[in-house]
Amino acid sequence: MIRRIALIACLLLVAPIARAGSSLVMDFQGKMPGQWRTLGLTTAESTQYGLRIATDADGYLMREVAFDPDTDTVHLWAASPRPADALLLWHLRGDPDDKIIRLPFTFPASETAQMITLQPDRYDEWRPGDIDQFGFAVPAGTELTVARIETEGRGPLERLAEGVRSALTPDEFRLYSINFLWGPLVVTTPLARQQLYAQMPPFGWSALRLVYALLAFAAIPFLVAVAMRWDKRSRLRACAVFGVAFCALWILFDVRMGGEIASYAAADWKQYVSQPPQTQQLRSHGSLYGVLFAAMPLLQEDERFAAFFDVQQPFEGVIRYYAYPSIPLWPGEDLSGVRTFFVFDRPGFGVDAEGRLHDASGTVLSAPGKILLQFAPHTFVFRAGA
Amino acid sequence: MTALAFLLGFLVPALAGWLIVTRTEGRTAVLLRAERIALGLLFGLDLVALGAFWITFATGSPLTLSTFLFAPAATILILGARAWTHRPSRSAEPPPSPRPPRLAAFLLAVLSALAMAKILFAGVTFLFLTPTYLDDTLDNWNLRGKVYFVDQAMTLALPKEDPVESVRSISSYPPMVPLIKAWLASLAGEWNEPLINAPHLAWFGIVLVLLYCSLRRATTIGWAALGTYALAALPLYVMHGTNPYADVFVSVHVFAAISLLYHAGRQSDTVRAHAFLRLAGLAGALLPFTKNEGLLVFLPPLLLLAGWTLWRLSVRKILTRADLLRTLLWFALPLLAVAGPWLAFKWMNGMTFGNAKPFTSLGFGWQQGVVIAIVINTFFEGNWLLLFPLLFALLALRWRAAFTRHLALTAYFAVIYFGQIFLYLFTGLAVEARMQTGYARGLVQLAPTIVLLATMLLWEGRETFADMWTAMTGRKASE
Repeated sequence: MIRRIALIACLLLVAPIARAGSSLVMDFQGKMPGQWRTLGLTTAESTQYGLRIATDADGYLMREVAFDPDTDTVHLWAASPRPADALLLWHLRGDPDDKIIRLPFTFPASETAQMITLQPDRYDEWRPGDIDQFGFAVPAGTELTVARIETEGRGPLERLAEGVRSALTPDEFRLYSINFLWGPLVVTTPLARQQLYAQMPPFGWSALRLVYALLAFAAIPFLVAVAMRWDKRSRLRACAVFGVAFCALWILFDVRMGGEIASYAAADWKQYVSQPPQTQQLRSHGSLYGVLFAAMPLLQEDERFAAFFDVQQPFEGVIRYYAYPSIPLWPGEDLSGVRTFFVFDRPGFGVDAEGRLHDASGTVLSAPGKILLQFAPHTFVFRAGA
Repeated sequence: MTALAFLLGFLVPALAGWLIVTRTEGRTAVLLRAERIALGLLFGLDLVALGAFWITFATGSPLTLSTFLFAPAATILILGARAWTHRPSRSAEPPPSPRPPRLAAFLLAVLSALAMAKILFAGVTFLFLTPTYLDDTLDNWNLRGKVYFVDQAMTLALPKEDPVESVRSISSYPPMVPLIKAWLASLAGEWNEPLINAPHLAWFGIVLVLLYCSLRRATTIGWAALGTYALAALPLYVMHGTNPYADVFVSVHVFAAISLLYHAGRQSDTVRAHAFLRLAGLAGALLPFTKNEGLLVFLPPLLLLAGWTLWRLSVRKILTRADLLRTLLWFALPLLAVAGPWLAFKWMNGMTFGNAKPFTSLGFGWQQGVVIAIVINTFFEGNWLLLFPLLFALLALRWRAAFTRHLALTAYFAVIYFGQIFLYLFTGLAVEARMQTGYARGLVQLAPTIVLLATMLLWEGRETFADMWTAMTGRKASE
């Protein structure tokens, strides 16, 4: 009897779970899709290529919509001669008329319509079932042609599949990996999964919430067995259900995290260990190590040398450690008497007509000399007096 | 040359350490063979660093190869002569171990093999085949080692740092790890990164062996393997064990001290209890020279528990008053020998106590955001698998056993863990919890002890597990 009820329940769930995702297409090429109202825009005219906007003032377009509740993605196709800042706008039913929610984004420069994809479902304010007004705004000075807007939503099965894929997506070996590991994270769209670790902290929620929910579910038979005072054998079997669930989840978790650590090592093999020195890349430090090791014999010929690199990058410790006993000098320190200069990925640095090293602002840094080793256009070792 | 340096760099300390362990153990074997070798390697490497520190501190001698070699060579010469006649007749025998259920054994074997493969793959890649990448290695452990090797001195002002601040911050850390690296480099005659990083994998291997042996002494092969697998599976512990950081190094010293003390308290034989206590005293004495936390966090509760253990053993008439005094000396003298010179050195050089910043500067008051950071790090990230839900559930379900038979482990864990949480909740150390740095390190340092405790509490329920197996399969489990 119980099995029959369980089977019927599963069948009843199939239809909603298997429900496909939704989409809404607004095609502006040769027509206006629906009733749009505009405010403030100098020009907004329909052309065969789309809605052409050219405005000397801030303005917006909005229209009434009825989104499917699982809408999670907005794709926009537009052509713009230069990058154009914009705001995605929506209004929630029941909110005051002037309460419009705004999500900033940027149209890239392109001659033909390019697609950009926004994932507003990351934000609590995106409640697609309650959105009654939708549109976008552009600032003064904008010129662009919007060809098409398409919204997309995933059905429960698709979301589940993305959730599983994202939970299995490993992070990369980063400087924080020695302090913590994010673990399996759940997001429900392909774009969010591709950008999972692109920002800190990542979007998405810990899959461990599901693990604890499953453990709580697995504990129910035992709790029922205790409350109903079942015989010892039944209690043991109910307890074993929890034990098996715990062991299974531990093993799954171990395989997931073990796979992540192995992926760190595999990436190192692929990008560093198996590569010739000139193409070695290591984690977040790119080609620094290969270049530094090749340059080291020259750098260590002197007690001190100057090092120039992007100060936003955590390279100081690397250079200091590997160069010792030679001491690197950083920008801003007194470089008098220094004859060797290590320049790593500094656009604008170069050698002037007199053979002197200069920085991006044109400031001369050295006496005349020459580049002894060139690794890339803006990465080299320069020696004054050579 | 590197291969020779690698061999001598580990064999010489291992021999010296083995002699020390054997001499301390006495004629009655209490250690398993693998355990004696692992402890010997651990203590032997420490001896190299300590010996070099003592010599250079006392005499101002440069940190040359002969300075490093003096202590282990002297130990081998002095103890080696007596070792043959004073060694234990044989190693301790673990208790009988019935065969575990075939499915469980197979599953555990597969998981353990995967864990070992992962550790070897990651360890070889991160320690031997890729350059130094992580901050603390670049700024502290490897940098200081290289400076000591190049300068042949314990240079305190590190390159590019303010000479006064450098002494008070990074250089205020105990120099054991950098000295061990400098020892290996001195043998090779060059700063060779795979060579100087090798001790980190050795320490990981040592802690797995010590945990296995500690569990095997009290349980069966299956349970010992289960606990060892559990430690080898912890993701953040694996990251630390396969990268050149010092927290697994601290964890193996902490584990050695507390596990030996725990086993001392479980003995009903005076000679065996003495042997464990002597070994625990030696292991505990090394804590102040591992990291600053060794002295401030891990040593005080160890000494308290040692006092409690001695009291319990004397109440049970296993130790006499004379035994107590002898044991106190075994704790006090090594501790004085290690901590005394190190504290004198710190005082003479104006060094601080704390995590690269003085403790006294931390302030006191409720800190926002700490509770959620701790909860997330402990339960909702990929750091510890399901270890902590399991541990807290076991402490609740098996509280009688936890607070009686396993009190040494439970109390040690509780005092340190909740003591650290108190500091994070109420002092400026909160940043270490919010940024997920110091809090996680504290757990790495405690991880082997926690796994030992959790496995022993699980072992307490072995009959229930056997009954569950029978209820599920209809067959008897052999254990």
